[in-house]
Amino acid sequence: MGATSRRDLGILLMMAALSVVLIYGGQNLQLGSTARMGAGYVPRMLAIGCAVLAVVFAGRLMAGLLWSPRKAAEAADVGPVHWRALVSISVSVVAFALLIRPAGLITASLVAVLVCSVAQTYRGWGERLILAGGLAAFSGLLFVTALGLPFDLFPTLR
Amino acid sequence: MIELLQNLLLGLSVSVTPINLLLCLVGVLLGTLVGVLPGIGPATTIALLLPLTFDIQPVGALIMLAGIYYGAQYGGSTTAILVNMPGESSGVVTAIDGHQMARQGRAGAALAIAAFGSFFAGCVATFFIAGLAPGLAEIGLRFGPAENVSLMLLGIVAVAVMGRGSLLATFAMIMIGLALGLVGTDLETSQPRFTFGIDQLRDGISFVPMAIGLFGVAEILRTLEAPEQRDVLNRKLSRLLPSRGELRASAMPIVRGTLLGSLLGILPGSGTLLASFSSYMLEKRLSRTPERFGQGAIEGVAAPESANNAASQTSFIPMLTLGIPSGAVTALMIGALTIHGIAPGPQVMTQRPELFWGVICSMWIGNLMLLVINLPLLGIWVRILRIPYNRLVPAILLFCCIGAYSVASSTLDVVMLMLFGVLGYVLSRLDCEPAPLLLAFIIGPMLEENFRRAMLISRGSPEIFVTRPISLTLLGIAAALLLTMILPVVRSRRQQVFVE
Repeated sequence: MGATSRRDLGILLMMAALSVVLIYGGQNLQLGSTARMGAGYVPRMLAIGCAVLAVVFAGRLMAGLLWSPRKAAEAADVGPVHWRALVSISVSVVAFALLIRPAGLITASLVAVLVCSVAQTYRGWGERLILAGGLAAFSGLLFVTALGLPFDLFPTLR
Repeated sequence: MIELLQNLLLGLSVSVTPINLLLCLVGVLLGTLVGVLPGIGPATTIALLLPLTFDIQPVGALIMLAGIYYGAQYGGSTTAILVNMPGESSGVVTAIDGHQMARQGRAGAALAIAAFGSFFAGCVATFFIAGLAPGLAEIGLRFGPAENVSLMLLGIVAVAVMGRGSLLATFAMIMIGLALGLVGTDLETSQPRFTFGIDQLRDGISFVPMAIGLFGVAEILRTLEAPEQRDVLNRKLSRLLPSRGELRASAMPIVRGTLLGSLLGILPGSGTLLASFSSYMLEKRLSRTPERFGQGAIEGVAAPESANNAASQTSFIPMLTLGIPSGAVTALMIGALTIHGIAPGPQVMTQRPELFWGVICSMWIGNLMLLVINLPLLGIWVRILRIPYNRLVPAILLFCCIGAYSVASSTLDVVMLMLFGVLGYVLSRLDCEPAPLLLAFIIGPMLEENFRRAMLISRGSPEIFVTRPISLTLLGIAAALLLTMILPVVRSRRQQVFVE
């Protein structure tokens, strides 16, 4: 499957999912009339729009596969997904989210930087630790000491 | 004319107060600092630095944001010229000849011409805005809900038509943005919509984590995918100032680029890419030696850089006068204004003249600062460019997290940051641009409100959009734009333009 048809498939799935979410999430909202629209009128319009787009992409995908399989393969293919980076960065952000309130900025920064650094090549864990420590100290100084943002630096009991 | 000068004087008096000058300076420096980082464009830079401006009073915040924007743009050109890694689409054009010049050891001349050109363009564009904005705002004041709807539709269509890539894919992005804009409390009935039981979502999806995620985090993921290559950096910058011959060769391209860029920047959706690209093509066509283009022709740096800067400045016109964003950057600015409690629109000019004219004059001052500061600081920017990417990634990611959290001290916002980062990455894998999504997210609630009001006025008849002359004209332009996309001639030309 070429890049173009993969894109069409991706967008088709997104549009289909979005229209389902809009219809089910909005089923308890009043539609109202065209003159007095309820909260559900515009969401329903969008749901229909998404469904129409999904159908168009489905048609394009079928047409591409049936009549010009060569053309679909022409578009430049993108490289493989960098799963390690994707996972480590996602985990790093979530770790920051979960740690910032109970454990403070310094701890959250240390953990986030260390987790994020897993996806890249460094000269051993020493460099990672120095980087994490430096960044945590820098962000503490910049954001809390200099800019005065209301974050706790260290774990606090509340 | 007298009035124009009076307005500019008012603006100057606002923008030269020590605090505002300082904010402008800090903005320009920070913008350049972040914008220089490879692969980071102006939209990403603004999204990242947006939280820093929350505690400042609105005028100062907007001045600082404008400074960040120009700084980021100039930083991006520096990176495009020195390492051929443009952070945004318009930098691609600068990189064509700029990077060749750098390879020949003429990086200093290329950067100096880019700075001169940007400054000249900034001066002209400032007057352009000052002259044009009051008239447009006056028209804007006469707009009712129907006109607003048509104008926003025109904006959306323009973004789809001018954007890179497939029209249908862009419409899909717009749908996602509009749908995300629905989340929150319905304005008229105060019913929660699509909040899925999460209380924090009643105020809608927070704009800052969304922007930082779509641009910042997704950008990191994208850059990690590609192996990095930087070459020119180790060479010494021999000469900083361009020779007399180079200056003479770039004078007219700068003037032409500025005029073309100022005009194209006003169009909604066109952004800076169209400006820098068409001015590059124009110079190539006018040149007696077109074969030099692509081999390090200084005109190929001077023209697009001036056009780029002029367009980035005049793209503020639709935002400041009509309240309609014309691209990712102005969408971010509107988001920032809303956070400060200012509803952008034609009333801003009459109700907050100090804000309006202060920002316009600060644009000019920001450009002056760029010229004075950046050339001497070039050594520092080059050193920043030498930082290995694996050390930058954790730092950028950490600042993304802190930025998202600092808006409302909300854990949910940081989780949103991650979700939008992943979404942005998926979209880039699918070759879709996040800018129309963000734009639609900003426009969505305004569009719905005006649409519902217009239909209420017309008692449910959609005729209201075609019986009112201004509304009909705006819809006509939108239809014409769409038609040009369908016509095969234009379509193939457009493809050609974006492929080159």
